[in-house]
Amino acid sequence: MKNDERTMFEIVGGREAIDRVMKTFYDKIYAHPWIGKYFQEIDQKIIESQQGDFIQRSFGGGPVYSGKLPIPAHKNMFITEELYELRHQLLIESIKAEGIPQEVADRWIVIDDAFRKGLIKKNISDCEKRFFTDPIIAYDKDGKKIA
Amino acid sequence: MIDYHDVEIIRDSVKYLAGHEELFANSFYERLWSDYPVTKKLFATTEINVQKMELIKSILYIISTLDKPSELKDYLFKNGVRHVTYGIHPEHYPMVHSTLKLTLRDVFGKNFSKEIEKSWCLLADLIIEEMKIGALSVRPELKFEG
Repeated sequence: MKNDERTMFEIVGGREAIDRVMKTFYDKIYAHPWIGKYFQEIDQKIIESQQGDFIQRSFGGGPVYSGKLPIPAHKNMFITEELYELRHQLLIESIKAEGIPQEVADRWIVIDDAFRKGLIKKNISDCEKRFFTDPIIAYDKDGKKIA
Repeated sequence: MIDYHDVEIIRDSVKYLAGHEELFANSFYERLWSDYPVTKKLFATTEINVQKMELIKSILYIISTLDKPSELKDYLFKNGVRHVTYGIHPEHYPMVHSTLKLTLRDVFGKNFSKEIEKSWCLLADLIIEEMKIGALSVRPELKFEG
């Protein structure tokens, strides 16, 4: 098979490689004093698996993702430009740390960044509950709850 | 290729959508799923009412940026990338093109002149071409016809 006929999923090294990046990435996220607060109610294994499914589908590895799409899934989270950028940089570091081939790494980052505009909110009032009892999740840089 | 005259026609014809946005969005998805049942599963995890609003917002945004090429290209490029992540494949693009045209015909009614049809088809071509560039930037192995 010619290289340009292989899917990104094959080039990245399959699900095992995606899972390695996800583990490294969410280890950094959960350990971080600010962004980690946003995930404290969510099991890390579950979010690693969901995000891995999403990337697998995005890379042509099959329609395994059955979760919400990124923008509706984050409607209740106050994601500032700075918080978004922090998460984005942690992802870039994780992809690099796991030795993902450059051609896939570049595309992974483009995919991730295609959601930037839809995720960033200027004010807490831009957040929306996804269902009646949904909490608005917002923390300042010191990890203090602000909503 | 779309030109200033087409842009004027499109912007002028948007008045026929005003007040009928919900009808447009409902008709679009009903027709898409009825003419191309294979597309229904693409929306399995989508909140369809949110999706309908997004469709309208997206069309109006595209029309508002027709005279801002770099902004429009960036938007459509990222839209193409996002649609890859939603599981949209090259074969779905002509389905959307056709559905858009037929939905506009339904909603515009007797106002859907040949001239309006031509200009909107050129706009749909532009949208798809730019979205393809985005899709191919992250999945170069995808095979688009044309």
